[in-house]
Amino acid sequence: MRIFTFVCALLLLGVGAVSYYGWEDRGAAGPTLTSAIPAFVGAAMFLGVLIALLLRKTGLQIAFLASLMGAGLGIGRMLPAYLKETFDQRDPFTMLMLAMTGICALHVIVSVLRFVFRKRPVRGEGKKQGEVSEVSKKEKGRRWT
Amino acid sequence: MEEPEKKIEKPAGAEKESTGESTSALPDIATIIAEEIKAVEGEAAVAAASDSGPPPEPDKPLKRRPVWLHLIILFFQILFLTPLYAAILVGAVGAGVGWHYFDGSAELDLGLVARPEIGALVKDAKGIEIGRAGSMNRLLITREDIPPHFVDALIAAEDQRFFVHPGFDPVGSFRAALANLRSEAIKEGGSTLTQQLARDVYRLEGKNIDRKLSEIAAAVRIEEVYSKDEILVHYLNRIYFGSGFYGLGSAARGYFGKKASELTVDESALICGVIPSPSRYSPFVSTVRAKENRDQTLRRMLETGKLSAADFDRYLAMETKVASSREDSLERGQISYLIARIERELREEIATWPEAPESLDGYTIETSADLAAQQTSAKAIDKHLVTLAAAEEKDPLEAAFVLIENATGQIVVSIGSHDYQRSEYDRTVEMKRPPGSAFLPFLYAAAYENPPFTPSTILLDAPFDNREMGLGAVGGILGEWSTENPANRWEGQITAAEALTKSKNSPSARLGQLVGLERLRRVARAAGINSELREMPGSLLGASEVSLTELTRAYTVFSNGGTPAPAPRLIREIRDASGKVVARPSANAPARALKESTARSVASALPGVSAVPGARGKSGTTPTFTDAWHFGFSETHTWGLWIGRDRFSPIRPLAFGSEIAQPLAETLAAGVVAPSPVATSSAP
Repeated sequence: MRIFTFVCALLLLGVGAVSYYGWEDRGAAGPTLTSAIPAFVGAAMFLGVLIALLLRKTGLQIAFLASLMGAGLGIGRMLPAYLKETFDQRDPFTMLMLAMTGICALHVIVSVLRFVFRKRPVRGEGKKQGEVSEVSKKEKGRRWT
Repeated sequence: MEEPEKKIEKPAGAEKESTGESTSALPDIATIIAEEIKAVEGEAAVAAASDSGPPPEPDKPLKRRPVWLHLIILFFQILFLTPLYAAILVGAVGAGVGWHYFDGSAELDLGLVARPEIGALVKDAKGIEIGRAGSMNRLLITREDIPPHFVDALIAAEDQRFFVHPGFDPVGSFRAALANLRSEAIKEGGSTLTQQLARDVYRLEGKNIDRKLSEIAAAVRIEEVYSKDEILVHYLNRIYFGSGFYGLGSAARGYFGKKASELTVDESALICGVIPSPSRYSPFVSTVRAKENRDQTLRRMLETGKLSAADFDRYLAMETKVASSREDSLERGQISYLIARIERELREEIATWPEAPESLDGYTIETSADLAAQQTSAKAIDKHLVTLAAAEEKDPLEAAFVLIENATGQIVVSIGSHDYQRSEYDRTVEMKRPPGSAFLPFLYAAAYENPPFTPSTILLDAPFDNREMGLGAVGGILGEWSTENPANRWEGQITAAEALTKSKNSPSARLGQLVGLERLRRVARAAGINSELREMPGSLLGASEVSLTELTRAYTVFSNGGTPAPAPRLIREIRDASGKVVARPSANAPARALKESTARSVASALPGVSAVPGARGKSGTTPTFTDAWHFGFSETHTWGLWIGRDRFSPIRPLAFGSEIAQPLAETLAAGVVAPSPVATSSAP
């Protein structure tokens, strides 16, 4: 999940950079901070990934919240144009917004699916001792080494 | 979406290992990522073990959590987390919507806020300045001109957190919404002064969420550029204070005959009370409503601590007198009315230009209006109406008058509301009412256009079952028309020309049935009547609604020998700042509507107008005496007058057009029109 989040964060940083520096292509009067919002969302997710290296769940939680907000922001940014029937998906900025919304929405969906279909180990009977020890070793290795 | 962090109980010895390696492992992100890939690649058990809980001890076997337990935990997690995440999502969507509008407002020219338009100079036909179109009636003020108690009154009445908020005020909006909810009516608006300024500058009209959000975004931009004092000055220089006054300077001058800096507390409160609905709360429109709103503003000043209880009681007991005579008010009203009508025409004209100018500053508009005649006519109408009915009725008498040039269709006098300060409704174009027998000339014209009907055609003047005409009246027999003139008699067989001269309804109804509605429609349309004549027999006798201007124009067919005047308009010429003529609006020359002989036959049958030698005319009355009309024409001009009430109450019993409208119309026309006989001929 951290890799996936990392990739999403990188993509969003890229979208934000294109949006910010490509203001001329978008027909804007100049670069604005609001056009870099995808990059801010990407930065928040990246921060989540970094935190997840130490505090996995906290980090991924932060990344999830960032992507949830990114998806909401993107939808909200495009919604009025859609309702006013001025939505033009060929417009460069709209494409960037669609990209941000898509990446964030994908991250949100994958996170939710992983949460819903996660498996939980609990203490109990019914497994061979050797398997458990193997799992335990791997887990130990993965978490603490 | 991960479950809350739990503390992991590390196995003995792992603490040191962990602590020792965490420093070296942290920089080694590649190793961690590689292991993460393995984890994602299907090592479910490993992933499961890593997701939560402490690492299992070697001697205790793992088993899956029972499904029912898993579901219960999932249920509670969803129960508590879903609303939280939903709220975050909704908040983010809202922020996204705000982002859309804020980005949209980036293109606004914020300099416009400080540049109130001076507009185009409007002149009448004699070159006399009427006013300015596009800029309204403004007297610009500075911050020093605004008395402190006026600011207090304005802030208390309109935007109590003005000096605190960043352009929009969620607290104020919430409070307004709550107040409206409690009173079950829209009593308070949530717009801040800056929002109102943004609405005015960027013409954000309409009441919908899109307009509101655009307004908020623009207001925030304005607050970024201008100080609160500057915003206050620009706001007070721009907004409408009713009765044709734009900006505080002109409102103070117009309502109280003084400078803004000389306004007293109660006068300030009265002016501020006008702002929510200037056309209703203007003291010129209703002194009662204006006082109610003044008191409301004073009350808010008391609540916000800007007024002591003693002062509040003192001002509340005061009567705030507006300084304006009835004649001044009527004259100023006609200027406002003309400007409003010219602006409407101007908008239509500019819409036809390939590129609309950014501003009308420096432009000059020359019109065909006669300002002096307009103002004199309005005063004459006012005087006449006073003689007909009491002024303070619930449904007061109104009148409208229009006078146009036959050849060009240019409007010389157009009075849509004789008292524009009280009512801005333009009854010359916006109102449509049944013209009654004033429509008969078109029925006879339609008949003469279609053989065998001629002015000599014999018609029967005898009782007629009115149910056939669908006009509805006493007893169902057309005998009720005898009340039109107490001396009226059934005359048996008379010629069509006589029937028209005497405005006989019974023979006209019979003629109408022979001519048919379709032929009448064709003639009416060709004469310039665009209103649809409804599919009912009564339309033959003028029961279908038409506007005063279109019927006046249609009457020009009789003076123009069968061809109607071009569409009536006020603007003759528009010049830009350099004096170059940029537009000379001219309607297309209309096609002939009637044969010349028909036009002359009808004209010759109409009674003469005593006040204008050589002119002829026709009155009209509706069966319920709600509308009285008179139309007249000379060789050069045609005019029309309507008298009635907006809510369709009868004018008074037996209020015939020939008795209450004709004398006034003749007086008004005589003031403008030189005697000139209309060409007529005997019927063929």
